Amino acid sequence: MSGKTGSISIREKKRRRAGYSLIAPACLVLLVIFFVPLLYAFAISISDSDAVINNSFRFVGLKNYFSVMTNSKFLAALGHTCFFVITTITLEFIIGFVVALLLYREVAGSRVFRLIFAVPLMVAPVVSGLQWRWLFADQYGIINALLDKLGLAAPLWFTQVSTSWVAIIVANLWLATPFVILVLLAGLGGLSEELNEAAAIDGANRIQTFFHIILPQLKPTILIILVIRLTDAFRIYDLVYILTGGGPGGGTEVLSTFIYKRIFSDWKFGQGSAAAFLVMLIICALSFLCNKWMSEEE
Amino acid sequence: MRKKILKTMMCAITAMALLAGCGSSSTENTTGSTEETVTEDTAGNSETGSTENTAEAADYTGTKLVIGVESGAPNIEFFKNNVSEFESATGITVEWVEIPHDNMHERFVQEAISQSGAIDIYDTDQPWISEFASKGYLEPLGDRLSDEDKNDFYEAALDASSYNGELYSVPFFVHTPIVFYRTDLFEEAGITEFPKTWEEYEEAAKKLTKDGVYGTIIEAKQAGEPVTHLVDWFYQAGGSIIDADNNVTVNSPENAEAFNFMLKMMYEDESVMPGSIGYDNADVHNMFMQGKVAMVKNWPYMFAMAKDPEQSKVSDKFAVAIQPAGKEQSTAAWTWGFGISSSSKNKDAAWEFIKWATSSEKLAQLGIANSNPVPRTSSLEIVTNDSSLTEFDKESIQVMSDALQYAHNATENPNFPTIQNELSYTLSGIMTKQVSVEEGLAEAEKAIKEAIQ
Repeated sequence: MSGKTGSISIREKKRRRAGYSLIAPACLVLLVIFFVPLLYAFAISISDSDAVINNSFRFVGLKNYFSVMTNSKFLAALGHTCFFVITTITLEFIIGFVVALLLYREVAGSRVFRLIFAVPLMVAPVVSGLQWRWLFADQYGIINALLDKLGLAAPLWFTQVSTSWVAIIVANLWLATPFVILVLLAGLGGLSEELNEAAAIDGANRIQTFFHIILPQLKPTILIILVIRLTDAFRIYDLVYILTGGGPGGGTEVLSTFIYKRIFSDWKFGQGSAAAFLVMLIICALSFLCNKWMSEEE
Repeated sequence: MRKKILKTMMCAITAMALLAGCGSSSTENTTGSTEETVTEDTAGNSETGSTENTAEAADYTGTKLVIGVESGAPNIEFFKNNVSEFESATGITVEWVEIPHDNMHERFVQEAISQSGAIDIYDTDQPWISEFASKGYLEPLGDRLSDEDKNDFYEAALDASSYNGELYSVPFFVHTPIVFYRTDLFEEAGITEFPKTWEEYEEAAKKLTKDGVYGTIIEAKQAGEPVTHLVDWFYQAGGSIIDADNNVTVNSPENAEAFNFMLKMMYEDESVMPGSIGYDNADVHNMFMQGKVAMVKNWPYMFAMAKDPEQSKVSDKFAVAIQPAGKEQSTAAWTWGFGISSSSKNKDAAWEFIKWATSSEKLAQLGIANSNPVPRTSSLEIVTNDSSLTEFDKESIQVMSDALQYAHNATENPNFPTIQNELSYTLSGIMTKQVSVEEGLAEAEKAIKEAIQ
């Protein structure tokens, strides 16, 4: 880059300066609303919690980080969150692809379905959490009523860790998959038909076309979905809070509920912020890997 | 280069998204201080300097009070509907900041730490009183409340609003869980008197479990509310959480006995609705109003719902009773009240509001409007003489108020929210049999000791 700047004409330089001055206010706002809180949160994470409560700062080094990393509840929450993220994103992609490919084919009513699939996106997670809690209710919930009709033994969903996870993941799929579907549809819409036709002429079947023609072209789309959904899934809070409260027995405790409780019921601001920072580092690392994966493939 | 920018941006977006969720304490804090309400001090009495309560002489015209309250709460709706009366009498304008209960604690903590004075009066839920008072976020009110008023309030009510012997909030609502039971099913089962002891309660629950109706519910969702009922079980077994010298006493034989009794009802008698261990109070009121359970322990708020035929199938088939005793006749008392923020710039005006809101007549009107227990003796008199209430209402309000005689403050320790959080794991873990009673209580004791040191 430095080699090129020398050769830029004065006119071009002027043009660029004007451009920079135009985006400067926006950058400034971003700086204030993003970096200031970020730095502040970092400051809290290396300060003593009691000092924070008194609006002051007492440097304690990485003590908060160590106490968080050796906290069994944090490690359990980390494990639970990773399990949740992997499971839900895998399922979201599988369901997302099936539905997107069906809708993309312009089957009858596909426009209506596109609209219907967008509905969960407009529902607040808290609302949908409550709605699913009623649906999964054991005495009057419709899910258990249907299972009963089918002659299946309906579980008491929120009394076991495994079935609690099923409830959380199903509720989350309902909320999050529509986003995956819509972005995939947009991605599919941008593909050229020519390649598909060429593949068909060469004798590729549908499955081969999907894996060797469509999928590689969708890589940027998948990447976008992956990055957004990863960060979102890592932050899951509302659904867990409403459906299980992290129970039974801490079996569905996730990072956000852990951080929330550390800060707002235990007043351990330092540890809470340290945990939040660790989570941020994990997510940054994951998105970095995603980016790397994309650039390697290109 | 472009790719690098893209990468950085991706990382930035990621981080931002993350912080929006987790680091809200910091962002909210910065905005909190800019939100400061500008109040005009026409009377020039911004500080508590005026020691004498020369209420009549003070002129508050133009003063604006900001009150942080729970949105949608029936009590608060009552005050909102009547506040114009106060406004026209004093010239003070009241602004309500309404916050859902789940966010209230977090919002108040942020406000208290930033010390901005943006909220003058907090609508205080019981466990926050000692927590906030110990950190100096609430104004002491003991000197402001007259002796006459002090004698009129129930002892449990003021005790539960105090920390270290000082009053920090004036209660407008004090309650303790009571039992709601189905009079028709009791008659069918031939039970003539409501159980007075745990054993009688257990027997009744067994008898009442039939035809798809369960005897009772024992809440055990991993959340704060079910823990408040667990505290009642502990107290009735003669146990406790923290003793008078602030020692953690969770791992006691008495508390173990409480759990063993609950487990026996749940798994041996099978008189407890099996999904119970995933329930909180919302499930309880739904189940009761759907007629699926014969006896439930719940808060007085359920009374108005349960007698409303539009939402309840059992509107004319139930009554309320004081909880049965174990070794002790005891429950925990919980209050809602108004406390003054120590960073408020309108403390005298705020006190005027509290005096108005917690006056004998207002609390009686509140009790009548919402069929609630009332925290003042003189208010109960007004309620029992009111002609708009039915005998059933009056009797029930009397039971709810009588129940307070046996009620104690459970939240004297400022770390109660932490304790409550730890106990929510214990309750849920033991009742779902993920841990044994001994292990669960030992773990809880260790965790609570660690957390509150």
